[in-house]
Amino acid sequence: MRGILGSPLRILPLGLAGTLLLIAAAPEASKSDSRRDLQGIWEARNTAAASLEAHSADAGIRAGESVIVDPADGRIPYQPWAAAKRAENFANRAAADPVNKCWLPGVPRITYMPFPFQIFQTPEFVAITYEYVHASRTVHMKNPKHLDDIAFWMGDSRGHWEGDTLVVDVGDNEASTWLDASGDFHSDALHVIERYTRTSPDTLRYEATIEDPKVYTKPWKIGMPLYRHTEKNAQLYEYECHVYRENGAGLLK
Amino acid sequence: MGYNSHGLNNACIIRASPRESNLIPRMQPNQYHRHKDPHGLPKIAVSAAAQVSAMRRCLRTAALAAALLGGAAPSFAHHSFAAEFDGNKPVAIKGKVTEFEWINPHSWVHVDVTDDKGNTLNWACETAPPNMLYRAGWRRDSLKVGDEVVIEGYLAKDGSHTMNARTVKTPDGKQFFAGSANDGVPAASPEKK
Amino acid sequence: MIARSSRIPSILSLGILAMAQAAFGQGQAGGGRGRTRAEEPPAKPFTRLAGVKPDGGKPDMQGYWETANFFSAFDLETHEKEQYGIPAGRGVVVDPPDGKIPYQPWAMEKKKDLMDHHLFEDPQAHCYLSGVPRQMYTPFGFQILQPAGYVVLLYEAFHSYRIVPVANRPLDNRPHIPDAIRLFEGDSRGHWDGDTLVVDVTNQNPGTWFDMAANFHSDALHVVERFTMKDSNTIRYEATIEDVKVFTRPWTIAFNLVRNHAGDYEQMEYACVEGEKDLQHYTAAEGAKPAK
Repeated sequence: MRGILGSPLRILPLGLAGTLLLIAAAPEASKSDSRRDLQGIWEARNTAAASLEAHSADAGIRAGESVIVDPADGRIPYQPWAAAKRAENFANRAAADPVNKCWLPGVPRITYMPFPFQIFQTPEFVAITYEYVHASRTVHMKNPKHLDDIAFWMGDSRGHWEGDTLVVDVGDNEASTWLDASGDFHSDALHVIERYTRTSPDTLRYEATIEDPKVYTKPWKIGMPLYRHTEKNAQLYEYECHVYRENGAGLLK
Repeated sequence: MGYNSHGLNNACIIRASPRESNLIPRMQPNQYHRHKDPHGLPKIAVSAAAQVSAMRRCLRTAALAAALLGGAAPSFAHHSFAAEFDGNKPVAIKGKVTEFEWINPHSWVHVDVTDDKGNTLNWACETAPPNMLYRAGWRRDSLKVGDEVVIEGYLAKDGSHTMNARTVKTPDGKQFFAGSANDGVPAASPEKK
Repeated sequence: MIARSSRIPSILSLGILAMAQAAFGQGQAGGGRGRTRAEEPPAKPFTRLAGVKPDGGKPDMQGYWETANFFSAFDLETHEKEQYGIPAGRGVVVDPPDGKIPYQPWAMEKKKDLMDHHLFEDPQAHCYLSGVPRQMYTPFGFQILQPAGYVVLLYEAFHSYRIVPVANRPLDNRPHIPDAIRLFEGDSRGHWDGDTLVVDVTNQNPGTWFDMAANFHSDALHVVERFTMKDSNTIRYEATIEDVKVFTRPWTIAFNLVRNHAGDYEQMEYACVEGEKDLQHYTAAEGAKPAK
């Protein structure tokens, strides 16, 4: 390697330096890629589906602390009229909760229903398929614009990465969903921003900022861990709520 | 090339003259011989020849579009029309919108219809699902409470004031095709393999 | 983006074409061989996935698709003339060659009874999931994603989905779930046979129909699907259906799936239970009571 490149001995330090740089760089790159891999089957393990705020135990419901991380008091910052409506919802919850009619739970409630869901990732989409009533959300990663003038039970989701956090902007939310089984509600102005972050090989941190200027005095935020289903050959099954309502037990004829 | 006339009509939103609002109040059965009309349209007694030719131009354009797009437009079908509606009982109503339910699996337009004696009945008119309507240009505010509409369709079999809507016409002359469950029109083309 | 202004565009303009495209939101019918659309790119060889086995190097089927033959939603068999609100149309049964589903005699009687008297029992009308293969030709199309190790089908109708794990090596084949667990969409296991994705579907709930014409099955249903990508616009879909309790032999349907090329197309939510209002109006047509 004489001539243009000069003595091989001069090249060697360059080569070594280059190699060391690559070695230094590579683990960071692959670590970052794997941190952005949210794929798998996940499930919440808390009582948020019963009540987002702190609550005592009740029939079929374990006691639980608030999953609201902001405001610090763990209470939803309702406007005065809305606090009264919430109390009315709570009193009527057996009949009034849309989930009791087997309707889609909406976002973020679908995340902490006591059923697993599976995340799939491709460059253009993050697909989240839920066992509960086969709810399904497709997060558009390349097109950030929500549809105009329409409402979906599961909202319209547009996502991007901030570092290793998947940020999902959920708009176009149908007004009729509840946030839990205790009557916590919203209007058609609901806007949710979710954040999904890998915190270990088998856990995610899930946060959702919830704003609705018609109902709350300010935006508020929930946070909780999501746990991976690690059993061998874990997969989703189905929970077809309205089928059981229509047929009672013993669906197979 | 075969095409579903429902799909064509989806695109044919026409401006009618004010005279067209005086539509005959009830379509006669012999005007619903869909198998004879190649476009599957009722023979509307429109007042101006221009309206007819405008409709035909629109349909030809839409037919051209369908040909270019390859036809087989989706007449939505997820359950049997015949279990609920009577294809031999066409009906047309005229009245004021009381509610427009923008819901799946079918949207519903509710209309107060007042008869000669001054009695008001509320009719429920089933249309296509919102995602079909949205893609055809409808929005939730396409029909507002109080809008005068003429809706043509087929009567429910159970005797209620319910119909499967084919077309919805508003006073500013817009006509929407609203078709949902298939009604036996010889529409869906056999696949060319 | 499907966003539109709320003003309805006037007719007699190219707006019709755009609207028709948006309304239909779909690709060619019937494979479209030899015919190109104004807006659609001509068919070309398909691309292949990057990555490692089992997906690496395999056809990239990702995108929005729909069935070329809308009529199958009504009836898998040919209908010579309109009956019970089911229009005339061509069926997709390719085996047996006469195009007829090979029912056992008792099952043929039951199907006739369902058609004559129980169309209101169509499980899809009750917002039940459609099952396989009916989900493949239920209207509104679907999206295919191929994340590593899976083929995921996301259907617009009823926001259904199917998750197909794709096997790497035979030893990696996950067994099907136990027979005691029944799923409306069944339990799918996929593997690549050359460039054909073969999907084995078991554990289906017996309560589904194959179409609106009351073609039905039992809990012994076993379906094997084959997805063979022909070119960038076309996947050949075949499904072999066997059910020893209902049919005299296995039978096969086949049709094309065609790509949806509408530029700004996105799937929308299509829920069912939340707004279902038809069932209250269903009549036991012809006066018969529901069969038990």
